[in-house]
Amino acid sequence: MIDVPAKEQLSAWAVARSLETVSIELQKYMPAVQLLSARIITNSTIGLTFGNEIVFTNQNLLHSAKNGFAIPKIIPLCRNPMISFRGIKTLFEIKKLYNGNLDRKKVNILFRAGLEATSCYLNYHPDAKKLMNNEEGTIDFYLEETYFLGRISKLKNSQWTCNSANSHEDSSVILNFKDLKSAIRGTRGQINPLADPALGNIKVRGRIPLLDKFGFVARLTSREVPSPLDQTHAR
Amino acid sequence: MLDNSINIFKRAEKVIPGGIYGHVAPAAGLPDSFPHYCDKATGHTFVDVDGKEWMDFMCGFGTILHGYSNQEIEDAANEQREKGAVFNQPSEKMVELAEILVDRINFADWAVFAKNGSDLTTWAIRVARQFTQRPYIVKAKGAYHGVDAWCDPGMGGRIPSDRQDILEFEWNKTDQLQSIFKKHGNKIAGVILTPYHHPAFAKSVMPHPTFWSEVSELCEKAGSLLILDDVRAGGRLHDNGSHCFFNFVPDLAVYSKALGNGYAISACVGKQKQKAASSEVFLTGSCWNDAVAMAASIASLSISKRDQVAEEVLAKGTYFCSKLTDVAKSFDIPLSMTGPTSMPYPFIENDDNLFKIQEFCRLCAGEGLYFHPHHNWFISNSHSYESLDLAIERTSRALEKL
Repeated sequence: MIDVPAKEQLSAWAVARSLETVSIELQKYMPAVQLLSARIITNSTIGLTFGNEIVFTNQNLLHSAKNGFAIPKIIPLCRNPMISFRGIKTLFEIKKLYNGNLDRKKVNILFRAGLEATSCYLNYHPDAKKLMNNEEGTIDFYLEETYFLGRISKLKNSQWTCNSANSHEDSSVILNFKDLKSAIRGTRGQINPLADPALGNIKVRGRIPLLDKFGFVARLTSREVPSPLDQTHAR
Repeated sequence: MLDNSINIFKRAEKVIPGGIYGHVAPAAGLPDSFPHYCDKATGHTFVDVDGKEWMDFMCGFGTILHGYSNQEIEDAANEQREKGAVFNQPSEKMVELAEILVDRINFADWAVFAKNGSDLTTWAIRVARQFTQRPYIVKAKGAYHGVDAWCDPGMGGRIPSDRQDILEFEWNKTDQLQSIFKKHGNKIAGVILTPYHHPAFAKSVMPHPTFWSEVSELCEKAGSLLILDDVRAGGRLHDNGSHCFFNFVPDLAVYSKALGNGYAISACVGKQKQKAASSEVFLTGSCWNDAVAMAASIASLSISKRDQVAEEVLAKGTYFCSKLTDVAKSFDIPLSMTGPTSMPYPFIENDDNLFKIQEFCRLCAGEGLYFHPHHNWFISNSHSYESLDLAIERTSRALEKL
């Protein structure tokens, strides 16, 4: 299995990793949901199940992220119809998340998806890697001061990884969203690093330069990685 | 409490990208505790747009050396303002100011003027390139020299070629600088450095005892120019330039901030040997000949000399820093004030992620003390010892709330 995405498939890989993350989060509330597993098959194709039953071209995966649906490759689907069916059902469950009102739980899941996409860029995008070259630490995200949304961290000589569990370890920097509306903008990298802190929509404590760099990469990610939120909850 | 600040900011956000940008952006400080807009200022205090009076320790981020609205400087500026500010030709004030700088700065044979530090740090590296006919400029990692693409601390709007001729070494690591010279010596036009290392969000670092002599020697041997960026520290370490404080001689030096005590002006001075090269590098700006700022600058320099202001602010800073660290210690806060005492950077031990210093400054803001958690502070000569005592008293009161 290839474990580093080709330059041209980074945005599709970020979508795939986000889908896997959402499936993990969804399963906590809906045990019947089948976990997805993002896998790079070739430079132009990405699988979403352990046995590579659901396989998308990079382009189709991006299309599915933008429009909520795309057709996977047919032949792999037939390898194990049951797993394929359950995997596609998971994709539909994920699509549902993006429709209707967003509550805390949904925002939490979608925030994790956004964080995962950004982590792909932090780890593999050449400009982002250069920018974050000497950085390490932990960024924690909260909603309304107490509701934990997620964390992203990097230890020396390792990669950026996301975590949904609050380990209450020392953070390098903490970002708190004032309300759900701000958090939704946060999931899409739409926070303005100058205006939103001044207006009190976000509050930042700790090592601000680390968050500034992260934010820059998050906005880069959101420009390159489509999200159904762009259609359903435009800024 | 920040009602007017927020209301004005909401208007700003609609018509100004980000509302407020750069080093004064609320996001760079404590947006929930500091005002976003200022109404007026005199001496060492300012009043924000919500009517709260603050005891200031940022001094317009260093631009105010003699206190806000200093009468002597305002009188000089007003006298010139009555005649006019910007004309088709420069005013005599420009020559007068250049003569003062050449007279006062021991290595200076000429001076040029602009409006901001960046205008002339960028021009100075071009003079070095013109003089040496070499491409590379060496700077210290994390050092701030302005807003231009070769050195700005931002992340956007950059292309790889912006910095392809910029080399970096870690402050005080002269062995690294030596290696750079060993590898690229015949291509290095100049080394640009601040008198001491004053990065934002990190402790200030003074030069080690042989730093400047080593740097000077390396530059001299290689035929590269040593450019002193004295924009921030100029006037607060020594009245004749910070190189006198650290006892070395640069080839070029750039000043701004305190030079005009709040009036926009910057200056670059240099030696006779670079005078011809400097004439080859184009230099101009719409309002760069502003005679009002030059008149203010002349008055400001005159006060500095007469009242030995650099010595004064260093002494006041030493008094203040010592009292402040003592009061912090009495509350079990291991605060240290790093860098020169006239422009100290506060740091709390084991607080690399800055949570404690942010909380410290937030509490002090409640007592009307404008202590910045991420940038070095500035002492002005309008801070009296009594006012510094009052600040200490207020700090103590703030820390009781811990």
